[in-house]
Amino acid sequence: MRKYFFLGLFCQVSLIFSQSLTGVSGLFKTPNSKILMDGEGFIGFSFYPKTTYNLFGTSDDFNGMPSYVTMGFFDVVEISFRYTHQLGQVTNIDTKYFPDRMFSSKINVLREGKNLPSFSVGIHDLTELFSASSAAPWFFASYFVSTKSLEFGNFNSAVTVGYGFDFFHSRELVFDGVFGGIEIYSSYLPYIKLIAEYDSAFWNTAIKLNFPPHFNAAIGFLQGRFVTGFVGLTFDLHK
Amino acid sequence: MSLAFVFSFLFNLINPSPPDIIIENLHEVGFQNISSFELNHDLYLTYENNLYRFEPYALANVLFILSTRLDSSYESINILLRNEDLPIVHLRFDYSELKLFLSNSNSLEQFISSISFSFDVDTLEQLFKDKTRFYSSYFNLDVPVGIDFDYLLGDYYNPIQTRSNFTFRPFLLLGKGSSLNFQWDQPIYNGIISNDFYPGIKALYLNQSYRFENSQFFNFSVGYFSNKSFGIISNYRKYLLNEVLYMEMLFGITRGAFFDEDFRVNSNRDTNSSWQMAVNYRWNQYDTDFSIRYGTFLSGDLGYDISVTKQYHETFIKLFYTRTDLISAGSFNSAEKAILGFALQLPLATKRYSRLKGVRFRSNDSFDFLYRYSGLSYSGIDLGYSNSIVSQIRQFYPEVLSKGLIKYMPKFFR
Repeated sequence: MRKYFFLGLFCQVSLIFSQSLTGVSGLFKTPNSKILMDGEGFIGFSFYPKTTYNLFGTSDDFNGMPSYVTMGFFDVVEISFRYTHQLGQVTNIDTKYFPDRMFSSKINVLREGKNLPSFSVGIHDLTELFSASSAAPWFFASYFVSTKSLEFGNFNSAVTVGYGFDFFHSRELVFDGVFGGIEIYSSYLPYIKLIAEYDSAFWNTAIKLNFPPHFNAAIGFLQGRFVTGFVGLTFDLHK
Repeated sequence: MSLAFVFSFLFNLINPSPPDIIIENLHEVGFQNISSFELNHDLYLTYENNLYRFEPYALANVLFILSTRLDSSYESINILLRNEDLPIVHLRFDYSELKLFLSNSNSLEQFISSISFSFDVDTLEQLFKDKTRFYSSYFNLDVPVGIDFDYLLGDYYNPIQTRSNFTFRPFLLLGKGSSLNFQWDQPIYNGIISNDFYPGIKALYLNQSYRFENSQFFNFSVGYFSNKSFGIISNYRKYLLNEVLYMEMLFGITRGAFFDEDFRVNSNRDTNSSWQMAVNYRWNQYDTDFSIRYGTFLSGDLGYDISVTKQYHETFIKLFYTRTDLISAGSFNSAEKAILGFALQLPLATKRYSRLKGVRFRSNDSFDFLYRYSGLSYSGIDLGYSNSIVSQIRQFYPEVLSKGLIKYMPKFFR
């Protein structure tokens, strides 16, 4: 009975483990092919240590803090809106700094089946594509990604493989080439998930924590040495 | 003859019929424009909700009241929901289905699936034509009070500009579909550089709405509108397949002008005619509107707007993309060819207001927030004319009522 209770609980909370550093659902920094269901969403912020990101060419001097809200629509599309701040940076005519704004989207093309992995395509920083702004897309990414869940009794994992490409000839590219990783979780510890990933340039590791019903967080190492993480709140507008 | 009438009157007084009891019970709760009668073993009821923030919540309460007052002599129940005393949507169910639900033989979902909802109200409205409607909502002053919040991306000296107002939007129903609308803004804080931030009248207009046969709505307004213009505007909307599809046309002739701090009219002598056409498709499975709008916008610019609006009961999330022939400089010197953004409408806390009688002050139904990616651009701004029944009609949509009943009926049928 206790076992089934934990299994049921984990099934309920599995989606809210999907928050990532970028604001789009994923592993730690990289996206996976999972999609938030219609009406589900999260709001949160993460931390980018100096030198681990590129914004206005001043990222060596300031830590970054993306804040975002992400929602699922129609059980197929996920849309995220994000502000990326630089902590300590001042907005004025000399710095010409203003927090970077961006929309991101991920579309689930194929749902996961018994033998088939799920498959999604995604674009980060959509505004330049729609000619809505001439500002530089500092966090642009276009990619496709596939995820397959694997069960081993009370221990489970999800393996993700993706490819970031320069289809739109963007000036910046967050994921350039092959990326992917593995998530490991167990029904014995339903509120914890372990992650190892390759973000097309570096290896990252993290542990994700969920505190039902709404709070979740992660802490990990970017590039194997920079401590970072995120916190967030989940919601479901159907409830 | 007169003795028979007196006897009949006294008998009805002592033994009121179920329709009379229902009228009294709905009135005790606070519903208005109520009428009810029985015909060929069917019960007919019409009412208007000015009590609850959300129509499905009000309907759940009406069904609960009916369930406690009806006897088993009825075969079917027909209910016509009204707004501004105009008929909006009709629902019908067999009384036996309600009994099965009340006896726990059928689930709530089974009962709701047995209800037929329809935008076709013409026949039913004819039946109510000669019936008296009790407890009129006419000439009661409803005053929603709330806080408006504006947000603008500015420049490097003042990057994020905000302002907030207390708003009072008195509304007086004068007759069937006829209303007087007013807006008074009381500034709280102004961080946006503009010359129109003072306590004063922001809108004052008469509005007349009609509902014609076959789900056609026509509305026109005369007066002063919140987009700082005087004039007349009209709007025609035709629904097809219940709420699934509608086509809309808008036409207005206005002159740019506004009331200043001393209530004098300042006119820029520019007369504008504005027009728009729109097609809207409703994906009922996900309560989502896909809309394309083409025509002139607030600055006289010509272009189109594509939007997707997702409804979660009372919460609305709209994503839009607008492109017009006005390419203006946006925030931080970026060139703006198109506008991308979103709008949120979030319900405020109060689910139920006090009874609308005489003068009623209440909180706004919702908090609205508009985010345009290009803060300073004047391209593709909504005409933003008047409040009318079509602007509130989504909570009357059959699918919204059906899903809302699943959510709210358990609160009354415990």
